[in-house]
Parts: sequence; C-alpha cells; structure tokens
Amino acid sequence: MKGAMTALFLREWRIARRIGGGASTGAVFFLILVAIMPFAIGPDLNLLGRIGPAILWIAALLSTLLGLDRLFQGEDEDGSLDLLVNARLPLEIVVLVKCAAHWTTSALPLVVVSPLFGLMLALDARALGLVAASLLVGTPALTMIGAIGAALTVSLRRGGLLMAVLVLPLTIPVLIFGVAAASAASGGAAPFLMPFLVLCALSLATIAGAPFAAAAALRLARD
Amino acid sequence: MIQAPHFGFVAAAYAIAALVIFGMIAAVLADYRAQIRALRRLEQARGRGEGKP
Amino acid sequence: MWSLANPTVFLALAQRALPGLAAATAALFAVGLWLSFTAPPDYQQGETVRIMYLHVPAAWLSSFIYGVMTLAALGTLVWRHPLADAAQKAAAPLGAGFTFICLATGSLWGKPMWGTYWVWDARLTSVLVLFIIYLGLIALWRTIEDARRAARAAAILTLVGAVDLPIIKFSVDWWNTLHQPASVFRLGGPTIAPELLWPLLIMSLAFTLLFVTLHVMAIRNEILRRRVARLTMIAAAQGDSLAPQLAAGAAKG
Repeated sequence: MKGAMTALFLREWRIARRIGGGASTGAVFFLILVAIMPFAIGPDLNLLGRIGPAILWIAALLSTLLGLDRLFQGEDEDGSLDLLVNARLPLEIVVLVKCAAHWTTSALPLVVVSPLFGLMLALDARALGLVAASLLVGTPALTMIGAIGAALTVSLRRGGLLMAVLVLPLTIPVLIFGVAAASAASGGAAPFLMPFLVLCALSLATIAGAPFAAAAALRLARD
Repeated sequence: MIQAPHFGFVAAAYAIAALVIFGMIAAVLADYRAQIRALRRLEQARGRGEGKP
Repeated sequence: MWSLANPTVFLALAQRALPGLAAATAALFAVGLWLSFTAPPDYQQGETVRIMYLHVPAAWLSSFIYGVMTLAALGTLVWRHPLADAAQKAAAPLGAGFTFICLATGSLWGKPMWGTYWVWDARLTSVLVLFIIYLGLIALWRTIEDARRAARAAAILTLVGAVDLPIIKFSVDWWNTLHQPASVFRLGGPTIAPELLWPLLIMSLAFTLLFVTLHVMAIRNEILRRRVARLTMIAAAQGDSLAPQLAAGAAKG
C-alpha cells in the first residue's frame, strides 16, 4: 500500500506542477487579494497592521477554496474517478493522499510566502512568525474541509460556487482560531498557545474524519 | 401598551413572524394542491391510455 | 418507525392525524399569544420582552429541526429507512424559515435593547451560521438532479454540519468573549419570573407543534411528488410506441 500511496502522491505532485494552476497561480491570487485590501481599507499602516493577520487568513482561505474546486474534477472528467473508487487502495486513503498533495502544492507555498506579504501589511517580525505558524497548522484543516465540499459537488454545473457556499460556514472555527493565534499580542494579553493548539486539534481531527465523508460523497457521484 | 416606547419593534417582530409562518403554511398547501392536481391528471391520462392496445 | 416505512401507510396516518395536529397547533397559538400579550412587562426591558416569546421558541426550533434532519440523515445513510430522504428534504426549508424568524426577531429585539439592529454576539452569530448552512443544504438539494444522489449528498453534509455545529458554537462563544466586553444580558433578574415563563413554554410548545404539522404535510408532499414522477415516466413510456417495454419497466420500478 505504501507504494501505491507514494505513486499517487507523485502523480498529483507532477500534475499540479505541470498545470501550474496550483502553486504559482494560487500564490499570485493570494498576492492580489492582499494587494486590493488596502485599496478598499485605506493605506493607514496602523489599521492595516492591526487587521493584517485577518487579511492574510481570509486571503489564504479564499485561495485554498478556489484551488480545491479542481481536486476531483480532473478525475471526474476523464473517467478515472471510477478507477480510483474501485482501486485496491481504500478510497479514504486516496482522498488523504490527494489532499496531502494538494496542500503541499497549493497551501504550503502560501505559508512560505505569507511573511513577505505580511511585510506589506506592516506586521512586525513577531507577528510575521505567528501568522506563518498559524497558517502552517491551520491550512490542513481548510484543505480537508474543502475536500468534503469538492467531493459533494464534483460533476455538478456551477459546482464551484455551491462548494464555496457549503464549505465556508464549516471553516469558521478554523478562521476564528487562526486569526486569534496570528494576532496574539506579545504582552500576553491575547494568548497564542490556546488558539494554536486548538488549530492543531482541528487539523488533526479533520485529517482523521474528512476522508470518510469525502469518500462517501465520491461514491455517490458515480451512480 | 400601544403608547409604550418600542412598541413598533414588538409589532414588527410579530408581523414578520406571522408573515414567515403563513408563508410556510401557504407554500406547503400550494405544493400539496399542485401534486394532487398532477396526480389526478396523470391517473386520467393513464385510464385513457389503457384503452389503447 | 419502521411501520411508517411504507409510504401508503404514512399517507393514511397523515390523513388521520393532520386535522388534530392543526387544531392543536392553532389552539396552542391562541393560548400562547393571549398569554404573551397579557403577561406583565419585564422590569428592565418593558414591552420589548414580548419579542422573547417569538425569538426563544424560534431559536429552539432552529436547533431542534437540525437535530431532526440529522436523525433523518442517519436514517438515509445508516438505517436505509425509505422515508428518511423525504423527511430530510422537507425539514430544510422549514428549518431555514424558523431560523430566519429567530434572526429577524432577535434583530428587532436588539435595536431597542443594544441600540443596533445587529450585534456580533455569540448567539446571533451562531444562528446566522446555522442559517447559512440551512441555505447551503437547500441549494444542494436543488442543484443535484438525481434524487437519490441528492438525498445522500445532503445526508452527508447534514452529518458533517452536525459534527461541526458544536465546534462553531464553541469557537464563536470563545471569539465573542475575546472581543466583546461582557455585557451581561439578564432577563428580568437571575431567573425568569413565572409570569414570563408560562407564555414562553406555551409558545415553545405551539411552535414545535406547528413544525410537526408542517413537516408531516411536507413529507406527504414529497411522497406525492415521487408518485407524480413515477407516473409521468410511465405515461411518457406508454406514449412511446417504439419502446413499449419501457412502460413495463417503469411500472415495476
């Protein structure tokens, strides 16, 4: 089974890198979102610094969401979804591996690049670190929850919009604790550890649970 | 009570609740009538159709 | 529960039970509304406390209906109860409606109380998220064309929501205490006075019975809708002289 998992992961990795709709476009979208916020909010650095972590988190959430739309779309379009569902590798593992590949190619670049964008939002060095850490730990949860939505709406027309409607409310806890961890003040007035640990818990829980829901949803799409 | 301050809010709240509730009742009843009508139409057509070979 | 699995049995039972349910609902509402308007005004909030008799039952129902949908979802996925799909589909719009009543009455209660139509307090925010989840479920039902796939997809989403809703409630509560100064909102003192409690209980009962009545009616509509769909297929196949065997197939299925 290890061999099959690795093969699947490498396949996803290569496809993502070749198509380029993954890492680079996602990072550019992240940049655009961060860039247009000040046009709406105003260039006041104090204000931007205060809401900077929130801006970065919302931008990361939306970038991840838009990328997840294609998670199963390719397989559905060329018919390999049937092959995956009927493969010897359990469908839940398939989902997990695909999500891992997606996170590595789409979300991890955002985490790496977020301190750079945080500079544009006048975040200090400590805040940059906190944002990156919270994104690192929180984006897996976003990916897993998004995978459930992607599996439910695969092969539907306008599925992307419906997927966003279904997924966004479910990601609210991740957003709340993500921004809380990222905005933790250095004076200890707002704690860092508690929201950070909750984020870890959410990610672990979704990694454990979401594959089952997504796999069940994928099996529906074949009928 | 009508002279009480904020009575407008109380009235608006009850009005909205009544609107939504009666709306839901109306929607369920209208749906019921539509289904009964469709069933009647189909049963008639079926009855006529069974006369044919 | 399994004796009701046969749609025809359910329809017969609904036919007999509905008049009684509707009458009981109307009676409870009559009593409840009379009590709501004759109860004394709250010493702190005055007349606006009467909105509570709408807001609290609606809030309770919005959670209760989601619980009913969760049971129905389990019925679809785990126990394979034939009417679970219909129960689920019928409940979602009702749930959205009562949740909307909760939000609207809460907002109209908030303006005189807190001075603004909307407050991001933990309760209103959680209910708003629940409302959005209801709308998402309705959208899912509408978008998927195959009825069986729609039922099971909605069931999966309902169950995911059921797991997530306590987490959402917890995180919103926590977020709210983090951001808002504690403006403790007390309803006429540390406990609700009995004169205020009775209207609340009767109205809650009235609302719940209203939901049960509407739900039974809506499930009945779903059963009839399936019959219509089946008969439409048979009629279409009968008219098709090139494929008479389709009529036989549709009649069986």
